[in-house]
Amino acid sequence: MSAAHARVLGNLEIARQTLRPANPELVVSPDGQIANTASLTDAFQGVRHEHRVTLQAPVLHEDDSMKPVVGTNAGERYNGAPGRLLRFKNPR
Amino acid sequence: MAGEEGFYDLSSPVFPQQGDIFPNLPLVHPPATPHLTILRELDGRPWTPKPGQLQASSEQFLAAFDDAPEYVAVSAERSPGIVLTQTCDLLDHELWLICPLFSLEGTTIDAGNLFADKYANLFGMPKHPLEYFDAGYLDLGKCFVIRKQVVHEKDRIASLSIAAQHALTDKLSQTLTRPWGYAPGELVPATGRYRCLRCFQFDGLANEIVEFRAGDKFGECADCLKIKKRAQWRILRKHARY
Repeated sequence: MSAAHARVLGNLEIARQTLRPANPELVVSPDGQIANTASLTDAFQGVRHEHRVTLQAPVLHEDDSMKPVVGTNAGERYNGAPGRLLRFKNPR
Repeated sequence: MAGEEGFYDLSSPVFPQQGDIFPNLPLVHPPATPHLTILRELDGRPWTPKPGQLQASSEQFLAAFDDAPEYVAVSAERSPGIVLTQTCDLLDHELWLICPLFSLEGTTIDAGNLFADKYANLFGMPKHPLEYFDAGYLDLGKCFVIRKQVVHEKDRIASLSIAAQHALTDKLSQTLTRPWGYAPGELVPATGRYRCLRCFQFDGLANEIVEFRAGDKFGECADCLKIKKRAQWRILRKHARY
């Protein structure tokens, strides 16, 4: 076993010991796979069209911009409803 | 950039470049669950791509990814989109970063402010000069990846002018790489000396260094409070190469 492999296995064991008692919603399988059971668990629900990223409103964390713009509501970040995707139109 | 004049370059540049617009880019949406929907042959064997019937199973209930890749189901759609990958990387890179074009319809986005570059996270796209698409916007927080083989240069419906490319570059920097700091009221993660990032760039301000203790809450920045802005506290480190 290489040193790098041993280090990975060691980190994995630390993760198992840390995650089990601290966060029961995180399940660590014997082979080290980590699953978050607190979120949506139905695989078929997760691929439904309503979960498309393009339907989600922008997620914003700051209230304005570092870039100064004079005399306006500078740097406002839009966080309202998303628009639909534009359609390609061939007028010819 | 305001208006459509000079925004698009319809001369079909010889090479692909950042800002090229294609009419029908595939947008593949990652599933919203930890478990994937696995596609297999009806008898459970790994699927070999071909026309015919399939069986869909939740990854939760079968031994998937057993030292081999799997085929999975995802939601996908097509949309006009713009290439965001840097021009000098396009020929060499297998994956391109793209962003779909959204319509202004159904939103409360003010078109005047959009095209005056007042929204920090949106990039206005004027109507195509040949009416291939209406005016819209890019939400640079919603980017997708495509393989470069899915597009053909002959399908390109516009490129951006040099000026518009520079505007897009500025917006990308502002959206994806802006510096941030802790806001007043947030918990101090580590005891140390902090400086407000928001006001350090302005002349005539003290921009004082403030010490905060771990577990306390960050306070206001006196300079920023005067103009009704919230502080952005960042810890100071030893001056060194990074």
